[in-house]
Amino acid sequence: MLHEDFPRRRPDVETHVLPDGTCLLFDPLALQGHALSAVGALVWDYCDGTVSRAEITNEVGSLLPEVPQLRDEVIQLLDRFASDGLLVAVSGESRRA
Amino acid sequence: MLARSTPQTVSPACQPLSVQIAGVAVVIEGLSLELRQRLCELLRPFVTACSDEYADVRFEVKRVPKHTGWIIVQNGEVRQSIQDAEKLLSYLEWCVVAQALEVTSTHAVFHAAALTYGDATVVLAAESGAGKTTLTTSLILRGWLPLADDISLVRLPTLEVQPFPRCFHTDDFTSSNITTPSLFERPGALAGYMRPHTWAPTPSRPTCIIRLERDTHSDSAAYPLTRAEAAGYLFAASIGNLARRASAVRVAVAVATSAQSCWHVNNNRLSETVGLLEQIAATASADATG
Repeated sequence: MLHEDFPRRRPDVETHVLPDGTCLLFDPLALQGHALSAVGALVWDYCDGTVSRAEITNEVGSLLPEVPQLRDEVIQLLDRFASDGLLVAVSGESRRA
Repeated sequence: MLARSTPQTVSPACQPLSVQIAGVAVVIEGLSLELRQRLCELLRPFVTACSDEYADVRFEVKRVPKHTGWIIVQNGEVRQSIQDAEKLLSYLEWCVVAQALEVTSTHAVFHAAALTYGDATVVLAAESGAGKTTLTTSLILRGWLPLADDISLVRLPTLEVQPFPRCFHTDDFTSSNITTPSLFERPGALAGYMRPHTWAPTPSRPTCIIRLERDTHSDSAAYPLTRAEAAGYLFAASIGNLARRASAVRVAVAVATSAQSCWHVNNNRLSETVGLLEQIAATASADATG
């Protein structure tokens, strides 16, 4: 199963949650920082390889049903995590049934 | 990070909690009964029985099946996700106050402690780490009455400091200096939070403005400040956006020019600083009655 289906954060990426709910990710391999909004921090929280993209999108989207664009934001965030190399592949056995 | 094992059961939430801070109505909804009770204790002086239909600021605490923590939504925006119940309460106690003070139009807000002693009302303006809370608790133990610990509200247009009975946030050092714990309650069973039982009963105009700092290389000492210097320090301690800070300039100048005395106090040794403040307040109190 590819990380695109069950996103899982790279364990070496350091996460610093700031008091205002936003978050800084530090990638020690690329020596790059990534600033996340509060929504981004929440989506990053989900990326442990046990929850699918669809489930993350649906669950975060359900928080604010009156904001339909939130689902698009979640999808874009997951795409960004992947394209920035912040996720790893997850085998099918390791995820929740 | 999430410690996700099995999907959680989402408990039904109880009725919203309504609070009123500096004229701002804040509603917190979605808490479990236990968390609501604990937050209610933390915010008890501000809790109202008002309807939750109208709120200037609204927090929704949400739980969803595949996330082990709490997700806080404020006025329709995701603000924070928190895994730990203690951190959730701490965050809400802070955020509710901060957001209310961000939008209040009835008060100017300063990062300062304030206490009364006889007829004197002393404002201690200082940055974090200067020892406001430690000094405030020490002065309470000596009979001073608190108006505020960390954040002082100055009523507009009377320029009186409003009693603001918010919990003190104390570290181990401050707690270890409290020789009479019965003067304080520990609401919400939250570590590091306590609140004096007794507060100054009414708002009062500041008579002494103190710019407090902590220079450990110098002795505790007090130096007189000009009104302009005091106004500058008070303004520097104002909290709020640009529009609010424009108003804070006028308030800082008015408060400083109407005070009986203004001082710069270095807080190195606690007992010596307490002595200095008592001298300053006693002089101001005698001047006020004389």
